[in-house]
Amino acid sequence: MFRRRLDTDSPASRTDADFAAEIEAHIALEAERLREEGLSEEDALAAARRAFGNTTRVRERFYESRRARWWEDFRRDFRFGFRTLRKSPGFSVVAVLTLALGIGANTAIFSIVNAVLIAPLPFPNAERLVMVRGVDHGRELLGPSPIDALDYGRLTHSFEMLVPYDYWRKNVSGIGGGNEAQEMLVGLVPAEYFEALRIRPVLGRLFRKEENVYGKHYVAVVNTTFWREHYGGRRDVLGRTLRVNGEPYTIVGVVPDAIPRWMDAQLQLNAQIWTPDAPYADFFSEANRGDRDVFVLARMKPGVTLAQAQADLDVVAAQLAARYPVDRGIGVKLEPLGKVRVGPLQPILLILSGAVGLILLIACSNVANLLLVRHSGRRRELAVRAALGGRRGAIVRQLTAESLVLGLLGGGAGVLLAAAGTRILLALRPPQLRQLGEVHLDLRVLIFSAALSILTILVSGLAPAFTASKVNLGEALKEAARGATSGGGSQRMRRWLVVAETGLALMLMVGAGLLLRTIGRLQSQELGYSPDHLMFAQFFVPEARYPDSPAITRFAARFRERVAAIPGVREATITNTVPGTYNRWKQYITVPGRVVRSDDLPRIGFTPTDEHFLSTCGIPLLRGRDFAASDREGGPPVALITQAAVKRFFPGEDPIGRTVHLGEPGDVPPQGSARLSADVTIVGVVGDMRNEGLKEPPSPQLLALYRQLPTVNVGFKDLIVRTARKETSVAPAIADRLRGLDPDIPLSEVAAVREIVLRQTSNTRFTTTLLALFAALGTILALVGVYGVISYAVAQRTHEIGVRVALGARGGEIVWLMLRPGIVLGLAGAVLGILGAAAARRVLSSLLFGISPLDPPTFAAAAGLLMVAVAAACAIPAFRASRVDPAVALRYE
Amino acid sequence: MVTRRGDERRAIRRSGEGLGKEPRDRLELLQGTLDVLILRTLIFGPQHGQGIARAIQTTSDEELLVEHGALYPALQRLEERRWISAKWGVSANNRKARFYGLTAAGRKQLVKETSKWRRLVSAIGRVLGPEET
Repeated sequence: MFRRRLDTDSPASRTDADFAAEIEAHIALEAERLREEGLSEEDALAAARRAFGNTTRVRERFYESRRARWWEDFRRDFRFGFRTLRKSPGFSVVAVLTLALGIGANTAIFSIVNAVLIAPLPFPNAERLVMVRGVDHGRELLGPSPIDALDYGRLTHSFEMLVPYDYWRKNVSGIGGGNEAQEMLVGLVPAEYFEALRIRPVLGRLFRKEENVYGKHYVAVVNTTFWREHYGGRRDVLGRTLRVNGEPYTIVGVVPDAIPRWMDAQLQLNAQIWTPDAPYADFFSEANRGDRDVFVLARMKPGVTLAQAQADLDVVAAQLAARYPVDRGIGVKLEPLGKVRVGPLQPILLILSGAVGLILLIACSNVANLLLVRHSGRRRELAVRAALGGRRGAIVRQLTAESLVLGLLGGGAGVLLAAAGTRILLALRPPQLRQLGEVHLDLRVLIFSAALSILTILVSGLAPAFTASKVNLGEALKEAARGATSGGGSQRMRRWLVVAETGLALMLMVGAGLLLRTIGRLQSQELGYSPDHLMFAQFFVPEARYPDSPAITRFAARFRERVAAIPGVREATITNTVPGTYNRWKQYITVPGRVVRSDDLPRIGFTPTDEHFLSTCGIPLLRGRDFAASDREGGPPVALITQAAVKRFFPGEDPIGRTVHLGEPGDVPPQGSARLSADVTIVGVVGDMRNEGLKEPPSPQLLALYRQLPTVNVGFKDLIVRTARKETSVAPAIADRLRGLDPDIPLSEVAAVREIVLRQTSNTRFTTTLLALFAALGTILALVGVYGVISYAVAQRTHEIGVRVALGARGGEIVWLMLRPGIVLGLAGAVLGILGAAAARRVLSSLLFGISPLDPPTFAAAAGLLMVAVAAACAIPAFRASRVDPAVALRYE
Repeated sequence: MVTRRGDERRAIRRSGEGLGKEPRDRLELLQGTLDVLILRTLIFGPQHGQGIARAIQTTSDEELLVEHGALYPALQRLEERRWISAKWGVSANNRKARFYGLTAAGRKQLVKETSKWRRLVSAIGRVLGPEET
């Protein structure tokens, strides 16, 4: 192959300036020649310039010629496409809007996928970070126990660091020198926690090793937001004190706001203050080996795989189980940080991605459909172009350019729509989906939408373009002359597209329907009481000023009395359980005379409460008696049990008067911060409450008086109030009473009990809302498609209809004539949709409750609704057809 | 391409006006002729743009007039097709100029184009019949 000589300049890399220099040289040479012919200096230069012509124009052409040829063609086609689209605004608006909806919905969902699955984790070498979860006989626990966690760190070899930590709700006052008390989430962490995440303080220091010891732990670090808000970002924050649960802590450092909201998302709050990991004196002692509720973050050594680390931990867990009876059946499961971030969103995102994918397909077929109509309306124009020698490629390219314009406009509008949609979506999000707090449109999302727009154009534009370019010249010109505009091929293709659209829409409707039924099932679950007119709040009685059980009891009783005296309050109880929600407090129970296996010790849900629980919540007493004021502190402990407990522990017996032992039986030493070992006498049987959450049947539950069981009379208390008016209307008065008793104890978590119970369904409701929205969107798009096909058919057959009417056809016959093909399309779509929904049933099944993913009533209802909608969409053009005036119709052409 | 050729024709007309010849005397260049004329001119060795313009005018006995500006897009095009190559040099009267030379591919192209032109001219001549003067 021929190559240029090396000493020549390359034409491609030539600069503008070089070209300008050549022109100047040319003019100089020409002027010199003219001078030699006898012209004056001035005239020669003028004549040379004249002979050259317009230099600017030549230079412009040089500039343009270096651009790629395709760009020229593309620009021309693009401009042409833009012009032709402007000439039919109706078509353009519908097509752009359809594309915008499809692309917008997909962009919005992708921005979530991006935030929780694709975007890099915000820590260096984050792929080596894992959470260590506790497992009991394969069931996930709240966490490992603190001392087990220390042993995991000590005995394994796979980890650079393995850090137990915790978050506690604490009363914080003295913030920024103020007096207001506030319940806040306080992190209890050693310095290694930040080091594992590679977070360095921006000011001051992290905790020293010796500060992780109880008694020397009165130091705190705060995050940057807290520092800016309350200390104006001044350096003198170091050395200031905060009162946490009544005790002073010195601020020693400021850390950046680097811990994302999805870390420990179950906490529902962002921590802004951290103190060393020393909640109480013997937290890391042997006595706490069974108290499994700490968080553990670990950083794997470089080169260690997740499987190796897991195997390493499994070995250690087995060793611990062999040594400590309380660790029998206890294991750990590693969860990479990436999985922590997705959390409960995984199945939801799968469903929503599927839904928006279907919407995009519907939008594509709709636009393809519109383009087919448009192209077939232009067959004559295209045929003329082909007759004049237009190549097929050029025609396809021009038609594609037109859809490209549509796609770009649709994509742009879609991104705007997604920006607005994401905001709405975030407003709808349940607070526990904290992952969604990180969602925003970034470059990756924009690239995705651009790619999606191009894909959409190719899918919806190319096939119609090819169909249109395949014109049979003679036929097309003849047909066009008669005014008929639709070839058989494209008409068939359009019908198929509409069938596909309605089928996809039906899939969305079935999905939304199944989720709606699931919510219905969940919300109609028998709670065992009515949550209406019940208000919930939380408070914490700190040990510093209320050091023992009598002090806590006294405080709680005085507070309760004052609350009950507020006008509008009917009854109040201080307790630890919200009936109808998952109750995580379980206690070992031993029923005398009942043999148990030592690796499967019976446990029972536990509610330490006062004597007003049943009357406040309205839980029925079935047998025996309720607690009474006469069940005094220091007296023999009494208890109430639920029906489920009777079934499990006293089948066919009368439990009243029987005594059970609460606390670790036999060879298991007493465990945990609330070490319970007491015999309680059952005095009554009460109705079941949903203590395992809405999805599970009630399990056994035992209620006892905290004043009679000092070791479980902890400072964390719940207040439930029965009100006469709207639940939370009495909250300010209650907070006022609490302040009056102790200004350092804040009232927190105020909510209606109904809301708290409903929170369990909020993920499902969120998903359902979105899916219903998408189903509506998809259905509307599909109906637009149906309507388009039918009204087009009517327009085409106006002449025929006119003839029929002239020959005596009645209006009803005409309506049916036009309605029938629409209903056939709808039926075919319904069949397709039912098959599709059945094939996709696995996608939804994880979110469904109490209903089969093939639930026939839901399928039937969705299909019925779709058919009605399709019929309605066809009816409009069909009725228009019936009103055709034969005189006009026959003159129509 | 259509626009470029249009420009070429326009360029030749205007240069005719510029240098005082009557417009009706001009010979309109047929499409693509400028390229072959440039190639032909370069057969005698490298030449700069002004030299090429001059050469076309003198060798055609001033019948063909080239607007000098129109030459450059043509040169650019030929260069991109690798039929000619260019480098800066010094002219006979010691001025800097960009010199164009024929490449091997250009030489081949010239042979092809020349024979095409000759065939076309003789075919058209046969159709038009013997000259009537």
